[in-house]
Amino acid sequence: MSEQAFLSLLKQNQAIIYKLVHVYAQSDEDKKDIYQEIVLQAWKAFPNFRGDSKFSTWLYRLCLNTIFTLNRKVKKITYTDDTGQFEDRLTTTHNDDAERLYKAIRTLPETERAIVSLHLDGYGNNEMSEILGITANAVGVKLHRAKQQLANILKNV
Amino acid sequence: MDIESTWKNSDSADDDLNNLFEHERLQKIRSKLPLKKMRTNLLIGLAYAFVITAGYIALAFYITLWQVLIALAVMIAFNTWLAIETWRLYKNTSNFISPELSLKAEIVRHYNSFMNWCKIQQRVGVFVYPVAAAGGFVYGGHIGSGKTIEEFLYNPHMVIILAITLAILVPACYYLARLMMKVAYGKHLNKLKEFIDELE
Repeated sequence: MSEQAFLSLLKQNQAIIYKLVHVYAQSDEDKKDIYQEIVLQAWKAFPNFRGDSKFSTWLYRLCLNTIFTLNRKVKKITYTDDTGQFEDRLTTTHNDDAERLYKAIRTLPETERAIVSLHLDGYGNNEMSEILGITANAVGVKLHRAKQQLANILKNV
Repeated sequence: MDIESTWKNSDSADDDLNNLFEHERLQKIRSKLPLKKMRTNLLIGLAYAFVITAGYIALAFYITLWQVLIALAVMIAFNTWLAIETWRLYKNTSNFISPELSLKAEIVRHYNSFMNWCKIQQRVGVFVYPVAAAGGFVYGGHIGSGKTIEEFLYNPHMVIILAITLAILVPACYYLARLMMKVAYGKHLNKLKEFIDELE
């Protein structure tokens, strides 16, 4: 498939990249770096895409694998039921609700952010288990905990 | 707030992302993946190993002292072994992300690649530098004093100095190699380990 076809496929699925990067980036510079790495890695991996899974799932995996293995600055998270003390240097154009939601998700531990994102995008526990490489049980436990934390945080903001 | 619908409707256009969907921009992107840097460093290490080994081989034609020739042979063997190990690691380490692997498997792959590189650096620290330093000490002593190696080492002080030099150099080189890895990639490796533990 040509570069043009790849880019148009990527464009159709750009919401995946956009959302995941906004869940993990801590600054505008960070965001640009992650965008670039994801697009480059997708371009390099695309010739091996055999269509065994949907392109969106393939891209989801690539985004998560790239984000977790890049040398990003990771903020140590201490869960507090509150996003007030969570300093963000990321400029977004979200509406208020979306901004609150992203901010709340960014207070969760890194792996739980992935689980919440996958869940909100409609992936079931078994699919998540395959994407993350952990058991479906562990996914269930982490998802339950993350949902509770998220609800508590959103109640307080 | 309805979390699901807020999430679904949250995507908005971002010029920083849209700009990347152009041929010119795509061609200019350079990877900042730590594994890419590691592969480059492996190649540099390999080039050094070749140059140094070639130097040892050349030196072997000029030196007639059998003790120094044995030391050179040991060094050439070590360097060759390390070069093979480095080449193997280079060949087996892809600096591209594999969407076919699960997140945990991909993180473990990155972590193990760095740990293998760390092992190679430590082997160099333990086997190569101290032997080279000891060889240099003996050969330098022989040239400087104008004595044969047997005469030079007959002086018990020289043997003690050599033993002390080795006793200091071996752990010093080992820990220096570890320290350098820690300074360069320690934070990244700790973070990868944390992710693996979180996913356990």
